[in-house]
Amino acid sequence: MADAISAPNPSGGFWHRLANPARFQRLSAALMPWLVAATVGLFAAGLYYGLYASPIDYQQKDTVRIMYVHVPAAWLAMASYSTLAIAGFVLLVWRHPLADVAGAAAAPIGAGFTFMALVTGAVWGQPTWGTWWVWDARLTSVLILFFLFLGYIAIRNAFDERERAAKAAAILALVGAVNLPVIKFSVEWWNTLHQPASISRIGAPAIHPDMLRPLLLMAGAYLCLFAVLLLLRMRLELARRSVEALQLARAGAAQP
Amino acid sequence: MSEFLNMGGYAVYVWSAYGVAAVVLIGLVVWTLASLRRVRAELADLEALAPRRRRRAAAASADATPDTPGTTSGSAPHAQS
Repeated sequence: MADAISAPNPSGGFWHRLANPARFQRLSAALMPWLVAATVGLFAAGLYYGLYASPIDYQQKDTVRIMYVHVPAAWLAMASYSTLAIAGFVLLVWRHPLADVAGAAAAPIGAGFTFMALVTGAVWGQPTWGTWWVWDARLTSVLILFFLFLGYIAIRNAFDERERAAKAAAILALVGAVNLPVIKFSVEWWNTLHQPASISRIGAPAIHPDMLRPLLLMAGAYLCLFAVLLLLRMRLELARRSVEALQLARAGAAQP
Repeated sequence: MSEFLNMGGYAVYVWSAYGVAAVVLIGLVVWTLASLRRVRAELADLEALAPRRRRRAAAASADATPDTPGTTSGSAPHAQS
């Protein structure tokens, strides 16, 4: 089991060559300036259109602007969890060593986006629905998503042995993935306070282009920031493992 | 400008939503960069130490007088930099 993890096939495809941490570090270092520039640019444009250069809603007035921080946060929360589930799958099936690193890196970012979606949703719900919170299917399933992220992080820290922790966390990530379609379709299966999808639906988006623009700009900004954070936290995780390996080597050298 | 800040009377809701988003996202970036700096410093310390360790270990085995286990394994306070 251990030899399969430590010996990626050097003649394999792109993903296997990426298993080499040095190669991953080089690639992520080359991507980083572009991603940071895109993040800053998209945030500047997204905030300009979201807060200023977009019309108010005829019913919601200015509170519609909360949409531009809320909806992309919910999208990225689900994208983060998808990353976790895919990383778990890749770890369990192919034992790709970077998969576990990616999962460990994505979990706190996903928890952050989910927390944001929940809080900005509550702040939007009060003026538009008249309540901060309601136990409807969409809100409850997103709250469960938040707990899944926390559970994933807790499992990783619960085991001393990294391989067992990685495996247990991967299984949780895969089992929890059933929550993703529940979140997506909750607004159709149970018609409660939360409105159904306006963007990803059959036919044209049910939103004015002037409002779609800041929404997509902010979504792009969140996505680029997610990529930046993911790469940074993967580097962090790899550095942590090097520290552990060196400490183990020292402990071994001290005990002949 | 004050009209912009007023957000049509919904300033509390709009600005607190954007504020929460900013705090979470900036918090994630700052926390990640700080951890990365700390762990890299730790790694640099250990790497600077490693060759000396190896030499000492080699010398110890050449003398054929191994240290008693546990004498050095607990001495790693420099790792918390």
